[in-house]
Amino acid sequence: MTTRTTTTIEAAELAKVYGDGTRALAGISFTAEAGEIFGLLGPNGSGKTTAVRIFVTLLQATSGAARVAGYDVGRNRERVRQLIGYSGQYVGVDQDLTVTENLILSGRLHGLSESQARGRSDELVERLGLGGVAGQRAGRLSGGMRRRLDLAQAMVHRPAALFLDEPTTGLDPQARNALWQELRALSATGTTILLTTQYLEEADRLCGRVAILDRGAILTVGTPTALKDAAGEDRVTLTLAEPGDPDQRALTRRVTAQVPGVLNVRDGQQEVTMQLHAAGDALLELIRRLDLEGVDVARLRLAPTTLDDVFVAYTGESPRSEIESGRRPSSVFAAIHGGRSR
Amino acid sequence: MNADLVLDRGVVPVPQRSPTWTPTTSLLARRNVLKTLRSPAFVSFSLLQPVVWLVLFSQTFSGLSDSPQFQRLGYPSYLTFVAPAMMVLSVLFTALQSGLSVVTDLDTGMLDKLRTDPIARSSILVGRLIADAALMAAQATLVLVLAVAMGATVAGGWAGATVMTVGVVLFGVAWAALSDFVALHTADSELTMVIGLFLTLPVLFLTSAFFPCPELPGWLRAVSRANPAAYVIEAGRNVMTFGNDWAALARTGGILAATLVVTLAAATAAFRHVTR
Repeated sequence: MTTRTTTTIEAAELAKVYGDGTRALAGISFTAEAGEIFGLLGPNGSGKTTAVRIFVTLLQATSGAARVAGYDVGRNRERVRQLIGYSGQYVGVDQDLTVTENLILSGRLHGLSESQARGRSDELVERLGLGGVAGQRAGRLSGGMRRRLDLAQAMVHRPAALFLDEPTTGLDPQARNALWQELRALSATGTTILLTTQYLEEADRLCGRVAILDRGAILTVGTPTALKDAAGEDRVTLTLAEPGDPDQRALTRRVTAQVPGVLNVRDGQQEVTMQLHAAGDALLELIRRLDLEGVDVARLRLAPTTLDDVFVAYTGESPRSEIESGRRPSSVFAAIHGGRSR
Repeated sequence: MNADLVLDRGVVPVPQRSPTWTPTTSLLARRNVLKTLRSPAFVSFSLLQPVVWLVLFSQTFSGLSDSPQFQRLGYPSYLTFVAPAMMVLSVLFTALQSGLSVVTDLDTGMLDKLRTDPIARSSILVGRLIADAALMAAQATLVLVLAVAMGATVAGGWAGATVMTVGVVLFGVAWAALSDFVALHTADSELTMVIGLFLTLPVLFLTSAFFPCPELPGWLRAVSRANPAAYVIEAGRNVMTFGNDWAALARTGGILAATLVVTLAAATAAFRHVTR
């Protein structure tokens, strides 16, 4: 027996500068152990996709190293390609081939014999719930089904490491849940999974550890629990009855900051936002204090902590790029739904 | 070996080795042919187009056959004169289409997936080109058969006709590889088409493809010498009019093979461009 490493995925000072001078990765380092689901969490443009594309041999790193099962992806491409499965942001299935044909082709391109590929295809069709559509052309499948086919294709050769770039983007909640379940089952068999996501919830539900990426650098690596400890599990947004009144705003800031379990109070133009630990107790205490001190609240909203909030916790500012602006209601939305309806 | 981290409770055993070049290439060729066949409209128009070209050209300019200038060149009819050029014209359109298929694979993410598979880049391209060649062979054969049905003759007989068809397909495949090269560099279907046409039309019109022009100006003769299409058309005409001059045909074959090697190498190298 030779040395047996359990580190399956490793980035060491991995950096990428594109031809036009854009620095997509500024030297990131992390490791994922065998059977781990490791998440790269960050907004668009943070370098997630670049990192994945280097690992799956589609891009060359400018400096640093990326290794899969100990093999350098730059120097041992062939070996790495045997070991990895990849599902990119765009679903890479052949629209004109049927589900089964797609899977068999993928298997054969990984060195399986016709009968092995057929057997493996049947197995995956069954496991991923594609049985009803096995004979249909991929172009006619729903988005969720196509995503599942894409994933099945990436798994057909039983890769040691699976790289998934935003695997659940565009899926409905049901399909998302099914996929999460499948990924958990896969990691239980020893497959190491690196996935990128913009959703804290996804990282939370799925990943053993998460690296938060911002403008090509890792802000922090930790378990989702640790991240949420830093940012609080929930976010409270207060809309004041008189948002233009500076005294009311100052009072709100002072009162809320004193409540145990409240952190990162931010005073926006229209509303005051804060993070909350131990939601139940802290929330009750918060409401009690607001009432006691005479803060005139028009509306209070409670929502799960998002990636934005974690960013604020680590950087003191919101992420730079166009992340999920839809989550923050516009003033029009607020005018229609919020405000004076009490 | 640290690679045996791979655990899976599945039933089907999976080897950790790469497939070899020939089966990979034939798998991908089969995939591309299957895709083409699943678009009956595409197949129909690909075959209808050369028929229309041949009928249109041969009828429009059939009067040329009677002119003394034309008769002095020794061609039995304008139809016989123009048939090889029509074969080339039809495969050129399929060649342009090849690049568009590559762009589609780029757009859908299919090409990314293929590039992460443990297979040679060249097999991805050659698999594409074999499928193109199959369609081109059908087109070229159809044109030739139709021309003969309309009264053209092939002095070189069956052997000549076969060699001619192979030559036309060889040229078409070389051009398809050029189109793939453009596609991989631009990753854009409109650009691929525009650049493809820009490169293709002069190739046809800077020859005697449609009209006999024995008195080409000097510079045009030089261009013509660097134009592989001129060689295929010339060779085809000689086969149809005068019979098989095997030495000359071998020379033309060599020129076509060299063209193919150059464009295929360029297209394979273009994969590196995508990796940067």
